[in-house]
Parts: sequence; C-alpha cells; structure tokens
Amino acid sequence: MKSSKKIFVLLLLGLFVSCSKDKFVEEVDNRYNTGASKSSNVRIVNLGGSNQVIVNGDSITNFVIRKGETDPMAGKYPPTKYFPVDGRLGTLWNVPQDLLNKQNSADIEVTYVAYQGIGIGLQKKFKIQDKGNSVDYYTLLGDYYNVGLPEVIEVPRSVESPRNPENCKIRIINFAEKPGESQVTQEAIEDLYGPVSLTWSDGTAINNALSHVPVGKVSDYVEIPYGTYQLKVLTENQRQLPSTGSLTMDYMTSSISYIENRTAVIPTYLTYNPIANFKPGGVYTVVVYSQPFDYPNINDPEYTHNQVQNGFQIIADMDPPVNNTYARIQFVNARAEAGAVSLKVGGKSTEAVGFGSHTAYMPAIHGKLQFQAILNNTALTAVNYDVKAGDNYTVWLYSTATGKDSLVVSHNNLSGVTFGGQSGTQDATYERFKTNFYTDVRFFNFNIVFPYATFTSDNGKPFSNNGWAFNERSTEQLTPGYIPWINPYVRLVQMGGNTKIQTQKIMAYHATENTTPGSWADEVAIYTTQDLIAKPELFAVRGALPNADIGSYSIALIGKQTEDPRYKSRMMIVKHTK
Amino acid sequence: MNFYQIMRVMKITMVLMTCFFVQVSAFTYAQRVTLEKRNSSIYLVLEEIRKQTGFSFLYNTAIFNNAKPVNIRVTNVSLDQAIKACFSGQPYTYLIKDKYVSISKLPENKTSTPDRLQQRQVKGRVTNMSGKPLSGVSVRVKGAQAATSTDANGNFSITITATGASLLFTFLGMEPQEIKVGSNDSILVKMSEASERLEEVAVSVQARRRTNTEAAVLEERKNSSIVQDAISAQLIERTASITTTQALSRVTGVTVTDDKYVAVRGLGDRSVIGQLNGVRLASSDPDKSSIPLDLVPASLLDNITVYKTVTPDKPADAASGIVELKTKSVPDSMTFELIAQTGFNSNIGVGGQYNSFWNSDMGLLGTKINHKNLTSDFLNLSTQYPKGLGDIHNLIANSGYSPAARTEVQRINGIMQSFDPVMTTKHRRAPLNQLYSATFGNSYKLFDDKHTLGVILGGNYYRRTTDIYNGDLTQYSIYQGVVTGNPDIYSYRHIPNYITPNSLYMGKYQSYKENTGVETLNYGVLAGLTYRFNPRHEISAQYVGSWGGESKATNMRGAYEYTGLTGDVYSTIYSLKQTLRDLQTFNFQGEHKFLKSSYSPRLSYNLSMSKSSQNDPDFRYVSLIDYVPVGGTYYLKPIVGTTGGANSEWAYTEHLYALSSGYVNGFGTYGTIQAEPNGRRWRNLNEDSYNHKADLSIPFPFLGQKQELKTGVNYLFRERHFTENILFLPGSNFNDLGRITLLDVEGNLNRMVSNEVIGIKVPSGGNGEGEIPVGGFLYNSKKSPNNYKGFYETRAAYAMLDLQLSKNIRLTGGVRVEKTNIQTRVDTKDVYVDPKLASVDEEGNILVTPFGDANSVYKTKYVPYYSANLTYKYRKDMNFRLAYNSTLARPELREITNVFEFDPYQMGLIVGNRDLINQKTQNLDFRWEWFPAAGEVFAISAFGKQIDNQLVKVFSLKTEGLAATYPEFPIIQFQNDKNTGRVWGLEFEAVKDLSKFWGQKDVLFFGSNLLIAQSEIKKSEERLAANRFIDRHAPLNSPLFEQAPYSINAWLNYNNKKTGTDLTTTFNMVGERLIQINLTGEPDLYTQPTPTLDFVFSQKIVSRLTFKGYAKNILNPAIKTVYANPNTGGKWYGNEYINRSYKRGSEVMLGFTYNLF
Repeated sequence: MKSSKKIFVLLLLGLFVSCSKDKFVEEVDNRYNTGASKSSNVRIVNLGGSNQVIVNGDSITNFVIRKGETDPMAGKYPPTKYFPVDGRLGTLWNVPQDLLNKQNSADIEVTYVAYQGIGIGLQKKFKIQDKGNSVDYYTLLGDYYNVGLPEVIEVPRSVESPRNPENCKIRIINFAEKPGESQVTQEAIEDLYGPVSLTWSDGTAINNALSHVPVGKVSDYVEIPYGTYQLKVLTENQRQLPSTGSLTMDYMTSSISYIENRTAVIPTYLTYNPIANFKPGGVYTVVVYSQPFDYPNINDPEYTHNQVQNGFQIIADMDPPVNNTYARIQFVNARAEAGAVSLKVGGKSTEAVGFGSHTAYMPAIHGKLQFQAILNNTALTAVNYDVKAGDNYTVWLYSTATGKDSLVVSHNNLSGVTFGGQSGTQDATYERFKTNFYTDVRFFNFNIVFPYATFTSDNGKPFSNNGWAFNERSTEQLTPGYIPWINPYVRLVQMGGNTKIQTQKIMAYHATENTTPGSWADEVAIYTTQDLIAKPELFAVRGALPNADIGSYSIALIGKQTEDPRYKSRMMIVKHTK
Repeated sequence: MNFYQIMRVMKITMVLMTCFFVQVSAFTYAQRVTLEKRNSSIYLVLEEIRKQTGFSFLYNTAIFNNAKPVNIRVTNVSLDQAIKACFSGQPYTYLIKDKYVSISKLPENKTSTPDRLQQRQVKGRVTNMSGKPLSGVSVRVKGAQAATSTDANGNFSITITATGASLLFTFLGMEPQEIKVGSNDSILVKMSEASERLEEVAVSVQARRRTNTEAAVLEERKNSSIVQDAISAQLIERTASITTTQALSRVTGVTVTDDKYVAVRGLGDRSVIGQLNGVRLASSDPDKSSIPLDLVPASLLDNITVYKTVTPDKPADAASGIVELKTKSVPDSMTFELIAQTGFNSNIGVGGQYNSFWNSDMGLLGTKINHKNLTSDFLNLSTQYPKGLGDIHNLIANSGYSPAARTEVQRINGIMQSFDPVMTTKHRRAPLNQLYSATFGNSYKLFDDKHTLGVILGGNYYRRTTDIYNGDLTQYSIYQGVVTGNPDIYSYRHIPNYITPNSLYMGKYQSYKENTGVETLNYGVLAGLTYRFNPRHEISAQYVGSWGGESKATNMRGAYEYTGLTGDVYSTIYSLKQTLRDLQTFNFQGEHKFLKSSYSPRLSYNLSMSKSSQNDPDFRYVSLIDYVPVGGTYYLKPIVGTTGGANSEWAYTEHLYALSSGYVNGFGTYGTIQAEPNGRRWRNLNEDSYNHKADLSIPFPFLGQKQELKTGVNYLFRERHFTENILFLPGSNFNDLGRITLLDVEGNLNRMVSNEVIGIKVPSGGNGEGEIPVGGFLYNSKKSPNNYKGFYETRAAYAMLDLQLSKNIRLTGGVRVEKTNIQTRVDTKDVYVDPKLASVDEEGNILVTPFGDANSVYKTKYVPYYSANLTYKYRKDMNFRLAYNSTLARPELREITNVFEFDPYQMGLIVGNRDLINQKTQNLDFRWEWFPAAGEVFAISAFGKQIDNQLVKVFSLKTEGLAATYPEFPIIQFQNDKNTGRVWGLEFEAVKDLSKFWGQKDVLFFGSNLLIAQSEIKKSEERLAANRFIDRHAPLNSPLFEQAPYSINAWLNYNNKKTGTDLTTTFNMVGERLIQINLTGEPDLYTQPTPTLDFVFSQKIVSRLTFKGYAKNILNPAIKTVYANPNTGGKWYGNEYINRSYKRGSEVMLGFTYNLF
C-alpha cells in the first residue's frame, strides 16, 4: 500500500502541474491605422481646382505647401485622417457621415494653397445637406477665370444601375463658361462655348437626350450598351471638345500640339478624348466645364502656360461594378462568297452581314459557348470557345484552302495596357504601361491567295513599334486563318509617344515560307494610316486630317482569286472602339 | 476522436485512477453488521459490509482472484467480527484504521489449505564455480513460459507449478544448466565457464547475444580486449531514454548536442561512426556526417556500446569512437511487452499551447510533411522555360490572345499559388505527449529440436511537443547602427566611444523574445530472425526501419537597440520548418564454425543495405525589419503609366520595411555573393549505403594458450543524392520590387506570400476590356547551385592477432589497410544564380560559373593503420589496459563537393573544398578497471590524441567594418589544419551497490562518470585578428568546436523487488562548449553548463502490469549561451553577456507496461 500512496501523491502532483500555461504572445501587426469611415450621400466634385477642405471650421486636409520642384520635399504630402493618401483634396470626395451634423449638413470651405501659380478666387464656402438622396456639389473655377454659372452647383446623382444589366447609364452636364477677367490678357483661343452633344467617336449621335444640351443643363441618364468607347463631345459646329488631361494644345484647333525646334507649334489635329471602358451596370456623367489646359507660350514655345478652355471629363457616379459576367463579341464575314451571314451565340444572333463587313458588338454571358455562322438559317460552320468575362472577341468567318468554311476567334485588347517587361524579373506587377489615347493595329490573313502574307509600312519596311512590346512575327508570313498572339499590336499613335509619326502606308506582300516580305501584292490597294479615320468630316472642320485616328483596329487581308470586283483581294479595316 | 477528446479521456482516467486507490466513502452508518449470504462472492459481502458500516475497503483486486465463495451468517456483530467471519478459511488478513479497512493476502506458505500448494515459489542463487554471484542469468522453467533473471547478487525467485519441474539456467559464456526442483524451495546453482565442449554452441550472432542488463554489459566489457563503455537496456529504461542519443548522453565520455549530434571524448561527429548491428549507419543530415541516432528508438535496443579504442577488425575511421547499437536480441522464451505512456512538458502543461503554424499537421505517421514537396510540375517549369521567369511573364502577358496559352498560364498560376500562403507562426493547443511500444520475441525448436528459429519483433511510436516561451535572445556587438541590406533602413555603423581596447564593453545590438515550439514524431520497427541449423551454424537477418518527423516553429520579436535613427527599428523573425527523416537497414549475417574442435576456424559475415533520407520541404525563414520613423516618411511608389510620363510618385508611409539580407565578400570570380536568408527552401537528401564484411578467425595453440588470428575484409559504398531549391520571397532585397511589395502588403508577411502578390493578376472585369493579364511575383523553379550527387567508397582489409601471452597478459593488435574513393559532382544545369552574377545559355547552363570545376575526386591508395591493445589482468576482477592505434577521418561528401550556398541554418556561405584530404589521428589510451562485484565498476582512463591534417570548419569573414552598408556573412569551409591538434583527457567511472550500507532487502546502486578533456587549437590568423580587433589580449588558442572541458553523469537507483518499486535519479551536466565563432570583433559564443536532474520510477501493480513514469529536467534551469573567453566562467572582462537564455521545461510522463509473459 505504501507504494500506492506514493503513486497517488505523484498523480496529484501530475494533476497539479497539468494546469495549462497561459501564453500571451502578441500578434505582430505593423499595419497602418485604416479605420474606414462611412460615406454620406453627399459628394463633392471638385472641378474648381481646390486642394484643401475645411469642414465646419476644421481643417481636414494638411495645408502643406512645397516650394516648387526644387523643394526636397516636393511631391511629398503627409496624409490626414480623411485623406489618407496625401492629405489633399482630389477631384472627387465622398463626404464621410461623421462630418455631418445632426441636421445632416455641414459647412464646407474649399480652398487652394500653393507656392505659386493660380489661386485667386478658388476659395469657396457652401453648405452641404444630405437629404437622403445622392447628390453632388460641383464646384467650378470661379468668376475670375470664367463667367456664366454659379461657383457651386448642386446636381442630383443616380446610383441606380441601368435596367438592362448589359448596359451602362450615361448623361452629360454642360457647365461650359465664357472666359473671365483673368483671361482677358491671354491669347485668343478656339471658342468652344455653347450647347454640346455627346457622340460616338465618329461624331454620330448616341441619343437625342444627349444631344444639344444647353449651357447650365443636365441631361437625363441614357442607357447604352457597355463597352470601350472613345466618346466625344461636340459643339454645335461639330468641334471636338478636349478632355481633362490633354497634353499641350494648339490654340485654334484645341488638338494636341508638338513644338518643333523650340519655335513652331505643330497641331496634330487629334483632340484628346480618352478611350474609356464603360462597364455593365456602371453610371457615368460626362461633365463639360471650363478648366485650365496647357498651351505653348506664343513667343517662347519651349515653355507652356495654363489657359482656361471648355473641356470635358468623365466621372463615375458610382463605383463601377466588376464585370464578371459579360464579354462582347463581334462577327466579321471574310468569306468571299455571296450571302449575308450572321453569328449565332447561344440563343442570340448578330445581324447578318455580307462579305467584307462586320457586325456591331453583341454581349454574351461568359462560359463555354458555341459560335455558329448562319447563312439562310443553316449553319455553315461552328466553333466552341471558352468565353471569359470582360473579354472582347472578333469572330472571323473565312474559307480555308480546301474551301471549307471556318470560324476563328481573335481576342482584342482594348484596355490600352501593354506589357513592358523585357528583363527576367520575378515580379512583373509594374512591368506594364497604360494609356487611354492610342492607335493599335493588328493584322490577319484570311485570303488563300496568300499562303503567307506580310504586312509592311512604306516600301516593305517593317512596322516599327518605337520600343513597345511588339513581335514582328505578328505581321510577317501570316498564314490564312492564323491568329498572331505574341505581342501582336503595332502602336501607331499614343499620347506622349513619338512626335515624329507621319502618315504611314499599310502594304500587303506575298511572302513565302522562307522569305519575307516577299513581293508586293500590287493587286491589293495600299492603305494609309489616314484610312483608319472613319469620318474625315469630323476633322475637316478644323482644316486638316490627323495622321491616324485613335482606336483599336484589326486589318485583315480578305478576298480571293477572281475578276469579280466584289471579291477581289483587298484589306479590310475593323475598328473595335466606337 | 480528436486530441482534445483524447486529452479529456486521459484527464478523466487520471482522476479515476486516483479514486481507485482511495475509495473514499462520504457516508456514515452504524457500525453493527447483520448479514446472511450463501456462496456469495467476496466482493458482494464486502460491499454489503461497507454499506452497513460506512467503512471503506482498500485492496488490490488481484488478491481475490483465487478466493473461495463466502458463506456467512452474522447478526448485529461488530465490524471486526463480520470481517473475520467473511475471511474464515481464506488466506487474508486485514487492518482497520480510521474509516478504512485494508485487506492483504497472507503469504502463501501460511495458508492452511494444502491443496493450494500446486503453485509455489522457488528461490535461489546463481554463482560461478568460485562462488561469485552471477547477475543477469536467465532462469526459465522448462516447458513453461515462466522466466526471470538473477539480480545483482545472483538471487532469483520464480514461481513453478509442479514439484517435478526443471529450471534452465543460461548465461553468456557459461555452460547452461538444468536443475530439477525437488521439494527444496531454495536452490544454489553453480555455473561453469564455457568449456571446450561448450564452444561448439558458442557460435552466437549478434541477434542472439543477450546483453540487456548493466551487469551483462559490464561482464562483456571486462572480457573485451579494448576500451569500451556501454549502456544497457536496463539503464536506458531507468533513465527513461526515448531516443538513442538520450541514452548515449549517459555513457562516459559522450556528449550530445541538440539531442542529435554525438561527440565521443570531445571529438565531433566526423570522428564518431555509428553502427547498427555491426553495420555502418548512413547519415541523413546534408551538412554533417552525423549519424541519425536520434531516429533509432531506444526501446528497440538491447544496449549501446561505445568502443573507444579499436582493433583492426573495426573501421579505421573512428578517430574517437564507434557507437554500436545492438537491437533487441531473440529471447530464449516468449516475451511480449506493451508500453503506453502519456505526459507533457511543463512549459506547455495539459491542454496548453505551443508555437506552431498553419498546416503544420504531420499526420499520424509524418507522411503529410511530404505533401509539401515541390511538385514535378513546378520543377519542370525550369526546363520548359529555360530562360527563366521572363519567358513566363511574356507568356502571361500574351495569354489573353490565345486560349492555349491561357490554359498554360492558368496551370502555372495554380502551381505558383499552391504554396502555403503562410510565413508566420501561431500558438495552438498541444496534444499530450504519447509513447507506445510493443515487443515480441520467441524461440522455436524445429525438426526434432535440431534447428532453432528465433523471432524478435518490435515497434515504437512517440510523439511529443516542447515549447520555449519568451526566451531571451540578445545580439551584442561592439558596433552600433542598423544595416539591413536595404538603403531605406540604414544607419551607419560605428563603435561607441566608450568602447576602446582599454575599456572593453559590448552594447546591445538587437534583442529579441523567442518563442519556439517543436513537435516531434518518431517511430520505428524492428524485425529479426535467427536460424540455427546446428549448434555450429547460425544465420540471422534483421530489419530496422525508423521514421522521424519534426515541426519547428520559431518566432522572435525584437528591435535594434541603439539605432541612431529617429524612430524605432523593430525586427521580427519567423522560421517554419518541417523535417521527415527515415532510416531503413536490412542486414543478413551468419556465423559458421567449421569443425567441432575448439580450434575450429570461424567465419562470420554481414551483408547489409541501408537507405536513409532527410526531407526538409518548405523551410520558411523570414526576418522582417520594421522601421517607424518619427513623423512618417515618403517613398517612391511605382505607378502604371504611359512610358513618357512619370512612373512613380511619392507616397507617405508610417513604416518602412525590409527583409534583412546581405552579402558574402571575397568569394568567387565576382568577389561577392548575395546572402539571402529569407526564403522558402526545399532540401532533400537520399543516401543508399551498402556495407559488406567478412571476418575469418583461426584459433591456434601457442604458449600453452589458445590464440587467435583474425583476418577480414570490409567494403562500404555510400551513394548520395542531394537536391535543393530556394524560392526567394517577394519582399526580398534582391527582388527589384521587394520593398514596394512589403509596403503594398503593409508589412504583413502572410499577405506577402498570398495570392494577392503571388501568381498571375488575371484581369478582372474591373480592368479595361480584354486587358492583358499581368504576372505578379513568380517563384523561381530553378535549382539552387547546391545540388550534387556523389559516392563514398572505402575498401578495407585487415589481419590481427589476439594473443594470450600469459595467463594475465593479452595482446591484440595488427594492421588494417583502408582505401578511400570519394567523388562528387555538382549539378550546374538549370541552376539559379543571381542574374547579376552569371548568365545562362539557351539550354539553361551557367556560362560563367563562379565556382570552377563541378567535379571533386579524392582517391587514396591502401593506407595502413595500426593498432595494439594490451590488457593486463592484474586480478580476476581488475584490468590494466594500454592501447595505441592510428585512425583516419575522411572528409564528408558535402565538404568536398564544390558547391557554394548561403545557409540560413548556419548564417554563412557554405563552400566546398575540393582539396580536402583525410585526417590522421593517433590515439593513446590507458585504463584501469576494477569490477569488485556484479554490476559494480571503478575505472580511470587517460587518453591522448594527436591529430594531423585535422579537418576543421573555418569561418572567414571579409568585412568592410565600419563602412559596411549591408549585413556581412562569413564563408564557412572545411580545411585541413596545418597545425597539429591535440586532445587529452581523463575519464572516471564508479558504479557501486550501496545497499550493503543500507540493509539487505533493497538494492541501491550509485553510478557516476566524469570526463575531463582538454583540447586546443591555434586560432587561424583571420580569427585571431578578428578577436583582437578590439580585445588586444584575446587568447591565441581556442577549444575545439563543440568540445566540452568536462561532462559528468551520476545516477542513483533504488530497486525494491519485494514491492516492485524501481526509482532512479540521474544527473547530467556538460561543461561550456564553443558553439559560434565570431569574426566581427565580439568574443565567441559558449554554452553554459546546465544541471539536468531526472527522476524515473516504476511500480509493479499486479504481476504483469507496471506503472511507470518519469519527470525529466526537474530543476529546469535557464539554458544560456554567452559571449565569453574560454575558462572564464562565461564572462568577458568581468561582465556577463547573455546571448540566449531559455528554459526547456520539465517533462512528465506516466503510463503502464504490460508483460504478457
């Protein structure tokens, strides 16, 4: 029994020690304080160029001034609670609820501080009120710079998605003004004041409600199919308004201009209108207002100055939803035969088009889909394709060398994003470039007369891409129906790119398996980059055409060996951005 | 059942067990009893009495096993009378005290019923012919299962069933005896030493030789011709050793580091070879030649013997010793033993927490560790995209234009994102420690008792967790400042002006709190078969397989102490490691005696094959520096813009982050090599080993004595394959975007490796229409430059004489020739090297190799090694031994292989050395041994070693000193030291039966051993210069790496056979050891001696069931590492600078052993 007692003592000891140890191990968390505050229904659209805010007498931006570019702290602004990025007011600001008082209102004072430059009259005081509905307070520059409208305008805003989920909603606000006191001594510039119309890139009207909107008026929202568009705002005399963010402009054409030899200002006749992606379910406002743009000094074009001009800006009225559903599909009939063919995708069909024509875009829900080419209610051919949301496809119908009808699918990149990675780095997150003002061209061969086709610039010179990711093989020795897929785009124009771009020829060559470019295909009419301009009239009002129009294009060699002019070999241009 | 449930069940079991021993009744009743029962069970009667009186009964249920039914009729009697009536005619006695009645069984001979004499106890004593008691003699009842062995005094007691039974006595080296037991209850047996006739059966292979008691190993030691020490299964059990290394730390002259690495007499693992059943064990550690002793469960062993001097029949490359593991031998009768134990570490407690990490589950058998292996899909990427990640990024960028490319890119994305997105540790509840073991053994007679088949099967499984909680780690330095390898977080290095050669101080550089949790899993199986055709021929085969899994999670939180920056600089380190090792050995051995005569030649041979592997998948290490500048700061944040525009803008941040990394200066063509400790690493080592040997011994008469000539051959071939992949982290300084990535994820290390950063940023609908996908961070699938394969071949032959020169003098000696052939080849194809350092051709071959020739070849001719052992038997129980031998140590495969690799385990650039040659060691040993009685020993040994061409680990650091802008790491390389190294030392050992002073019944043994060793090596010029950078008096010489000046073991064992109690206390302490050489001006790092006190007990409960348990590391002292000069008591110029201090925690285990036979 003695030993049993010992064991008992040991057991007790065991139970005693067996209390688990409490361990306090601090979680290491070095994050910033990211206490997100809830937004009210009020938004301030700061078109008046202010950079600081005082709410109810409280400065909530940093009011930090840097002494120009030479300041070692240039560009470095400390954040504040409500402006966690740089402590300064940007274009859009959703007023947080906790800044509103019990009556759901607040006294706002926006102002502008800077070491030098404009600043007079940019201070505005106004009251905001959250009445339960979404509302924007648009601030404009002020009467010192332009006259005609109040400095602060309250505009109700819709945050309702469009009825048709494939569509987006868009409206136009015309806050155009005439130059004010400060502009009297400035250079004379193009007059872009008056009613405006929102149009597609070729100047055709979108909807009556968006056309001829008078100064000071807000149009209704209009539903348009979602997509990538270069929307334009035209005055009554068909002049294109520039858009916020334009490079240095020419006085009388309001187009992007280049300065040659430090003396001459050369207009390009291309007005800066960004290519933008309007997402399904998105709500957008195009607002026209008088804003500072960059112009060359008339006597010293090396330097530039600001001058106010009416331009537009596209504002999202609610955070655009992520498109996880739709892709857009376009059909091209490159089959050199008679008859209008349509493309059937799922239960829907495009319109029927004849040889050398393409259809409008049709949205389709992503997934594994079958594309069928339908001629007179019978399917010529079909192809299965895994359609991804957010993508953009062109489906080409052509005849193979054996005379079989075939469908191939090309994927269009309308985002303006190109790959910039040349080195073998581990992380390519930032190895890309993005622009919203570009001319991208890619090439296809759907003509069996050309077992190998090469596309070139003037006199057989390969297309140069000025250092962009571009694979020359994408223009060389293309076999019929082949979809070049490695860096296939030639970028002809981009904002901030090469200023020396001239009008270029686009030529087709008979290449062979082993030679390129081979011999020039004189039976194929030469195109130039100006052929990309769909409506030259739109540019004609300013007196000249640009070297090329903006947008994403596919150029395909189509046709066949025939005397019939309808089916003769030729190039066709398909523009993907409307 | 999850482990919480298991734990609950175990807790409940503990409580119930407590209740079983103390049946406390809470009721009180009148103490008069009225009872009438017929043919009732004794339990029912006692229960009725309990109910009526309220008295509780204490008894062991086993005593009622043979109780007769009770007839009782009492009315209103006292408790005493009632119990008396109940037990009338039965062999029980009782004691009433307080409210308890304790019942015990009367001794059997006092029972009055003569018919119960069928079973009886026979006691006896076994001695040799001269009357000396023999301990460990196996005593067995012929034709029955009952068996026992004699104790240290030669006494035994055994229960026999019939009067006509015979007892069989067997003992190694003694003639077996069969004694018929008459009516005599006490017998005296005298065993004679094996005579000529007996030698016929003396053929006994390892598998049958039974030496599992201390007495038996001492006997073997006494009779050997060389200096050897051993620990038996008995002591292994008494010290509660789970792994072989734990057991080894109790052997004289053995020191164990990290529970893994074994040094004998201070010489490290290169000089020690491990053998399992006489067969060379293959190393599974990529960086050390260490033998995986911790993999072999101690419970599968009979004993561990350390041979400290060798005869030519043993390998010559054991400069300091051979560790020989003998697995359990085949018993003479059937045994079946089951052990189950459970417990915990006091740093964790029951249901407590330990540091671990997400998805660290190893699975029951550790197999889940291999789920983290790199997939072949991932590895194939390096050949599919030979130009590297640029190819893949290009493909990703264009994948939108081609459905086929898109599929491929999705596949790659899946591979990249399949790695565990976790870099941090977290605490979780620990399961209870568990240990299970089962062994079965038997011998079978076949073919009319002419052949014998022996079988042994064993299995062992244990799982335990340990945790270091809030340990301290301080990096002292003479420098201050911050160098992280990232220019954002930099403060110039300087030496504060109060530190001068005349006032030697060190300041804190970084200090941390450490949390390390380790979960260990280990299991092994043993299977052995022996077959004896006739007494002169026996063959046997053994298989030993063992597997070990380990998960280790370390978290260190701390800061730089004196930064010179405005704001705090924090540092957080995480290390997540899992290892799966296995070792499988198969051997076939035979012993044959050709003639019946005692002068017959004998042949023994051993053919073996073993496979070992160590897999470290996804070892993650990250060291994050977090600088919080006062008032915040700004950094240039890249933006995706047009080419012409600005591609970055200033952004505000309150923190700056960096993963600390640096360079190694002065290596290779380029003079510098990047040293990136942060990363995910995969290491896999596979080694196949073949070891064949044959020994022929020819006895002959000479000088009137039996002499022996022995000759034999030995062939060893090891083939190794090592692969390594290193995956850098997105936040690495060597990744151009590293610092931006860290800022993007706000210093969150898990986000850094999450899908947010890793893999492809597939454009969502939030992007432009048809936007190209963008590759985020991709892991590099190319191999590290540290991939190699190689072989290691040795051939040996020897001839030796074992001469009995006179009755008292024995001389054993001879010559052994050994030949070395080591060849390795580095795989330089598809290897990732810093693109800034080397370019790669289309095929993926490196064009400029910073390391030269990929092949290493080292061959020698047959080189002779001599040995001579002289034993003078002064008395029968006393030996004087003198031994000389020359040995060699070979470079390890890794050391000679021409690879270079930054190793985050050792924080240095490990560089191979193609010019290494064998080290030669000459050993001189003297030993005096006295074996006063069975199980007792006193011994004093002296040894000296002279080492030429000593293979030493050389640290060299080229530093820019104060001008350094990034952490600098040393080159670590093995070299042959031109200086002759010397080691000398003394060993003392005493094992004494103290019971003579105490009384006769209880056996109290005391044992202790002490090693004192002195080793010195002259510091290299570079090392001395580094030491003397500030300390002008830094000593010229240094102890050998990891060499302790002393190591002491003591144990006290109390064994009461009557009560079945066995209690053992052991004490162990190892002197300070040099564990890190510093080359930046600070003194070297030494561990401090820590006393370890263990207590082990076992208590027999019923005849076959034993309750066992232990408490280890009871004192739980802080384990300290200090910056110091040697032999200063751990100080540096009067001050103590503690580098690391933590407590391991005490370990408590409780459980049962069940012996079926």
